[in-house]
Amino acid sequence: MATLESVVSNRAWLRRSRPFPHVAARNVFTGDFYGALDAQLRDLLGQGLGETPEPDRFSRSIPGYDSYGIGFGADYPGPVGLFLSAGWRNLICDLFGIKATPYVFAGAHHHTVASANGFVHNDFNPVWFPRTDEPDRIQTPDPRRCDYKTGAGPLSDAEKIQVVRGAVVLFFAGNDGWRPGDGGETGLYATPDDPVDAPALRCPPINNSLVAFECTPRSFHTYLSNTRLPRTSIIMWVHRTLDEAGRTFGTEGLERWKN
Amino acid sequence: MEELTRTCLLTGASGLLGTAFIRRYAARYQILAVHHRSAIDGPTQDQSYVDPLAPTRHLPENDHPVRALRADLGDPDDIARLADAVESHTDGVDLVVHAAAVRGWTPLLAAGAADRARWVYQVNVLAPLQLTAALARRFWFTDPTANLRANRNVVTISSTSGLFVYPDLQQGLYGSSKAALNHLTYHLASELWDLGIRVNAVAPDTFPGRIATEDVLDAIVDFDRSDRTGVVHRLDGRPA
Repeated sequence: MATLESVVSNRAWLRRSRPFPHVAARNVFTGDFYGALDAQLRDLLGQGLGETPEPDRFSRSIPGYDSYGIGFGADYPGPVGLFLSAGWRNLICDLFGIKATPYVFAGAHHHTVASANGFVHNDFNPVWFPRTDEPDRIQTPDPRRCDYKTGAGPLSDAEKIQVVRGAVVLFFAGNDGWRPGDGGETGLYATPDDPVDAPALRCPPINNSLVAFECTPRSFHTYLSNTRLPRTSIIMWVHRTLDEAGRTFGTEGLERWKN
Repeated sequence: MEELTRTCLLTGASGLLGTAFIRRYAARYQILAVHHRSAIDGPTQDQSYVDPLAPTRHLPENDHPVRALRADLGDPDDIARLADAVESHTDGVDLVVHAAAVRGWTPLLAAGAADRARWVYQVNVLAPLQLTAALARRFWFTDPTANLRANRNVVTISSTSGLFVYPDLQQGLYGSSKAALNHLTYHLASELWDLGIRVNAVAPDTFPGRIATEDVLDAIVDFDRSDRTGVVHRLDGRPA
């Protein structure tokens, strides 16, 4: 695995406070590394899109969300594995002052042309992982043993853990030719009641750019419909303990899953 | 940090030209950067750069933040609010760069073209007029001598599509709005003459591509440093 210093090209990311704290950056990786990421995603997309959930290719795996998703396991090969490295996890945790845990989710979303708007939400969700006592390893979800949203599965209570999404990264790739007016941005909102199509800020899906933010009760965001081109992104969450989330924001603000 | 002696109000500050202007001139002007839904791509009162691999490291890129002001130039009421906000943040405006624009490309006979025309003309023509008038009332009416001494001026960003007809590119609304902006520039230059305010336009061909963005920036600042007024500077690589 390449070192972060050798692949992170942009050392000046923009930290913004409105409409809620987030970080945005363009030209994130070196051209070579971005090219390899882009090629890996294209290979994955070349396997086609599944209309029912499938673990190994993009598929309709997120109920209520008009996209095709895929999750990456901890040992996923190739450059996307960077998003599952301890170094990258630590980088994201350090940006937002989150105490790192082993629990990381990384995957990708693909929206075909004219995918619907998402709904405004905050990602301040509790989720479940198989428990690990090795703080330096990366533990990804394992839905066969422990459902990510409910914890249901064969693991005993002692073998699983409920944590809270701590910060999210949306990295954009494979969106050649995007231009303003094409949609497919990530919209950021000041309140949950803001109209979906009138976000306070639109984060464009420009290749080799990212937007990242701490998941809090106020980190309102969603996907905005794309009119001309597909949109592809890598998505990655670091997670914090339930205790830390409660101390920081209060557990009453946790957004429990509705389905 | 050096003292910034000239205050520039820049619209379209999150666009391609606005971003390039800020990158090149944030150390030279105190910039009031007007944007709408897209954020300013650089340090402001609400945002700063951070090194992702060393978050506490000082970054020189943060040394010249601009003051971001959010406004919808498609809404005349918002322009009035913008002028109030400008007044609350500065005692004077030395340079105004009207860089905000919408393309609104459409066949003129297409459904909805008339409604689109209102939007294109509001942002590309009426907003520069409304904002310039609001600034004149707040800052420039009282002391023309001070305006002359400070060499205060306005630069509108037009286009060669306001000078020539490019057929079959669906630029009827855009091109005619820029033609109107050119003529508005001449008239503003005439009417603001007595206030000691100069008004000029830069009319570039497509940038970047046919014209370098840096050449557009040079043309803006050349106007700011000059004593010219009532000039529409065509920037298309052809002899003037």
